Amino acid sequence: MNNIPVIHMSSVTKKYYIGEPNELQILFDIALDINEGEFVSIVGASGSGKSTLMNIIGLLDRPTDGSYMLNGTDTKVLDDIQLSRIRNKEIGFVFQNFNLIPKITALKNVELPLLYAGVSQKKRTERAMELIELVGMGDRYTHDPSQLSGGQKQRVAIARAMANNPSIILADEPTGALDTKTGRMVMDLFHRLHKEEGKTIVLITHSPELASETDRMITISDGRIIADADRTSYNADEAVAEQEVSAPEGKEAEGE
Amino acid sequence: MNILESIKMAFTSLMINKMRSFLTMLGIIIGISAVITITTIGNSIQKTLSNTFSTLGSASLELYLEIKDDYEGDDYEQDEDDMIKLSMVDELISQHPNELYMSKSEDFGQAHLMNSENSELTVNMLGITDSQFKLPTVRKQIIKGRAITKTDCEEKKHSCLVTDIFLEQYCKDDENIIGKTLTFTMESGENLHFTVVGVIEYTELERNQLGMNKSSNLNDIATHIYVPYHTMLKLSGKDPSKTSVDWVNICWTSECDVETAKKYCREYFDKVYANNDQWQVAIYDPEEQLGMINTVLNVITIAISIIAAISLIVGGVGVMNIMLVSILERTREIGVRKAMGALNTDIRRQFVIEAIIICLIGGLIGVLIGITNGFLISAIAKALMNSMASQYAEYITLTVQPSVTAIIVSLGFSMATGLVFGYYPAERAAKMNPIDALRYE
Repeated sequence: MNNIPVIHMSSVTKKYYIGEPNELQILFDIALDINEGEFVSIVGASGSGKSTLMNIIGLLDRPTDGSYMLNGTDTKVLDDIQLSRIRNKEIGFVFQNFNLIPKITALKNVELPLLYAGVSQKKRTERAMELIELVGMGDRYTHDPSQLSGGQKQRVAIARAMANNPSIILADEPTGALDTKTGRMVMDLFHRLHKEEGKTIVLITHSPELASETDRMITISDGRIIADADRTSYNADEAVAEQEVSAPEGKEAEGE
Repeated sequence: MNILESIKMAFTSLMINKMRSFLTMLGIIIGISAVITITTIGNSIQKTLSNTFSTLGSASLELYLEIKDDYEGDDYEQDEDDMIKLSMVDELISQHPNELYMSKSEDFGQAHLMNSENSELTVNMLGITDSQFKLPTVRKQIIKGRAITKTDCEEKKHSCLVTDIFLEQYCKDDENIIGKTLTFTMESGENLHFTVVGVIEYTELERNQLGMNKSSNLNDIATHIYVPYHTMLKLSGKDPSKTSVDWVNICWTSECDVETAKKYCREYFDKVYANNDQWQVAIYDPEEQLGMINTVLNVITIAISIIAAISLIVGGVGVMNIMLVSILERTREIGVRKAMGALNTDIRRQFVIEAIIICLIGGLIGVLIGITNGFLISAIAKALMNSMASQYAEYITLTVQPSVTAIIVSLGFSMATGLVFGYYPAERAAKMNPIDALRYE
């Protein structure tokens, strides 16, 4: 772990319709540091501004004011092309509705970020297969998304997010479209990636239960961070207990 | 991302929606196939004409008298002084001895003679220069002996060429006709003696023209007897140097070409006729006629092609329409691609290439259909010709020649159609805001 935080935000604000009578401020003075290897959840009700914050973290949107440093790089000075490149290499997105590209195979979906990174076909397939195996989808990589269940789709999507070995995995309500059981499976996968691969994961959710599983819970309300609880110490024994509960399921997922 | 990956990706997308891709292509296919069909027909007609011309047409300039453009009198009589004289032609040729030569044939009137079975035959006597046999029009097949030579003309020999039909009429294919001296009784009652030096074979077309197939009695057919031109002049009591002619053919050797020959003739006769305020010498080049037909054909082909090309624009609008629909449908996909790090250029290129591929494949199919149409139409034309004008059928070789230029231009044009009509939708896709695109339902 180095000293530079992966994400360093200070005084980030976001306004829409600037200068118009219906000017709308979504984020107020956000200050946030996320270090390498952290598993952070951002919780908030809908409309609290957590999606906007996620878009800014994911470099899909720019803050109106304030600074956002990603791995020590000030994102303000970057142009759209540079932002795309960083998005490609440093950020892995996992969406609520999976957002796999229809009618192409799971493998091709996982290859997508590698394709835009300019990796050769041979290396792309190699890396994608590796990831598909990692998420336990080794026997279904030729299926296209319409032939996969929700949980399977999300696992493919997570493999895709991992493709370029990004600094952060940004998961927006990853279990929102899944039932409890498969949602559990996906959460276990995140825990595994966090523990085994040491990934920095930012989980955006409206569910306090899911958030309570993570090391650190950031609560956002009306565009402001109202709580930032580091739960690492508290989480230690719970994590052990959790692992015992989820172990059979984890194995099942691997064995699939 | 390189261009090859983009092309592969575009193919994948097009294969996903095969029916739609094909229907989109249809507009392009119809447009291109129409253009190629028309240009193939036009090109084939040209090729057929020029082939027919080179087998039947002549490679000589025809010189004859015509009224000067600025002549305003009402006397249209040709005086002996106005006529083209052989001496002029000789002088022209002597100025360019290795480049030009004269070719002339003239009717010498009918004659009669008795064959070996003592029945009377009628023949048409024809005086020809030796060069007549060099012309494609009279490129006769000498089957026995030799042709009329320069020496025959210069020394005014009494040699003659007979035809294969005459041979049958006269002596039933006697092997020893060469060297025999025949006696012809002219209309004037005069008897002339000519020694046979060669036998030529009539072409199928000439046989038909002589009525070979219709006439019941072979001996009724009047065939041609060719005698040296100068011998004929002498026998008619004319002085070659003072003889005037209605027309004369000027040919050129390999050391010269048609344009130079034309220039020589023009220069010489303009000088000679400079003081004649009524007449000048016209120089007629049959190839020019062909050129004119070709020009007309080209104009027609281009005009119809343009009309057909308009359907390409309609096809192009179809492509644009489908691309817009497809982009709307794939908004989420575009959002995902952008979130995954696709640049605007990657997205734009992906959709432009899809449009170009649709148009290019449509164009290729159109070209194939167009060429097939050309062959089908030629087959129909051949069948029609065989039933309607059978006697000429074998002289006209129908050549199907798709125009390579048209094919290249149409393929280029269809690609350009894809580029032009694909660019706007692709640009729209590229400019999409990834957040909105990801949220699109």
